[in-house]
Amino acid sequence: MRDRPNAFELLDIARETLVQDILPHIPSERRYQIYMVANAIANAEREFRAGDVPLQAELERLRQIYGDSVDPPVADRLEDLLLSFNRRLARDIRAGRLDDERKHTVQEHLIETAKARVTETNPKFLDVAPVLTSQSTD
Amino acid sequence: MELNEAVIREPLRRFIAERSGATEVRIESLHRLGGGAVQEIWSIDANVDATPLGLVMKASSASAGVPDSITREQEFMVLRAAHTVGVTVPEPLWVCTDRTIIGRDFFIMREVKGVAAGHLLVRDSSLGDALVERLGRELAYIHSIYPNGSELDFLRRPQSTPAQHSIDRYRSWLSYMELPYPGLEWCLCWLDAHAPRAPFRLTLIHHDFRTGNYMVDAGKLTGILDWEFCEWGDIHEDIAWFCARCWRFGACDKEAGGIGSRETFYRSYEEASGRTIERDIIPYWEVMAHVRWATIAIQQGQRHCSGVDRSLELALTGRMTAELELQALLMVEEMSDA
Repeated sequence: MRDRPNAFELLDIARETLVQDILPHIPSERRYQIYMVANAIANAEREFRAGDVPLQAELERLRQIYGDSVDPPVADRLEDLLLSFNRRLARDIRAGRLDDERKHTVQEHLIETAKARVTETNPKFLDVAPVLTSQSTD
Repeated sequence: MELNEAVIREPLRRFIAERSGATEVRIESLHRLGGGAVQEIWSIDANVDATPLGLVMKASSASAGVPDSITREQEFMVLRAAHTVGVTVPEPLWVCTDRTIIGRDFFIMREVKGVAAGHLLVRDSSLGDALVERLGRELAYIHSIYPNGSELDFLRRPQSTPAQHSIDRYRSWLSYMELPYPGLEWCLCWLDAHAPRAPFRLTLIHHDFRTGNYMVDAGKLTGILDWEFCEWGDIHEDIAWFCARCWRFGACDKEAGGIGSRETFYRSYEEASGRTIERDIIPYWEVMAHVRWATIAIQQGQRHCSGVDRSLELALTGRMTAELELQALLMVEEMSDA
């Protein structure tokens, strides 16, 4: 067992100290850098908190697309499994090898996967109603 | 390695004296400016024959640059061509390809005052549609330069259509990435299947015309910057790049660069250029914009991770890939359902 505070509790207080205590003393032309550091810490913290959960969900969806039989034999670590599945998916998409039936599932999977990553990298992005192709075809 | 102020000071002074023909040149101050994650940009406060002269030097990066970037000598020529047709740019003065001077290629332009930072400009509510109108006109002037007989013959021109050329390019970049990007591959397939077939006229495109790459001082535009990606292409790519959500710096409701209204931008561009913007094709190019920015973001993250250019800014740019990919995927989904 490790001691408390744990890793993300530490990151949390490091970021808070940076923004609340240090930032006011930083000349305005360098504040941008402090925001970047705070942003990097928050990014890492969210990834820590999410842990393997989004990766497991991604793997589950990839297995539904490809079935269990295609597991690359060498891969047993989660990251390696995801990497081989995603390489295969990227190749199949580029080569146009997906049948119409699987296309819809794949599109949903890709959007889910991107959303899960954005939840960690920039959750505010998901708050704004997507401004899409307002001027296109309506 | 960064350029060293003490080392380049005297060679630059002599270079300025030689090119300006002045008898006495002093350098009052010389310092690197922020921004320019790839190139180095330096501010030079010179005194030329007892007259103060504010200058800016842009030098090539020590490491290999971003793919697609033109050389400093070429950028200088583009800047001169743009200046000639009336685009508001920092006046280009002298170019140097002799690497014995400071060890890199560089050019010097007249300094322009103002703010370029996108996150500051989108918060300035005094700018709005007046600035957007001006930017529409500026882009129209840029698009008045054509390849035939142009001294900019060296610029890249698409082998096929501009859209197909972009698709091929981003696919080849993705092939060399350390990680696979099925989401971006998905968008590229859609872009491939929906590529515009209408005839187009090859035109000079800036290729990075967006908030963050122009300077504003006291509410007025003072210069369009960062010409290193320009090439011959389709006007709609520039227009969509300017309007794409990824360049609104959070001011998402202001569709023209986070500054003002899209329709104002379009109208001002159309009036100044005499061309008609094909409105139906802009969403296509906005998907392309997000895919392009995503592939560049991946490369910037890699520049950091590989140790070529360690920087927090590049590292964070790498983390932006997810939201760029998501935006492109959502746009593709919406247009596929329509």
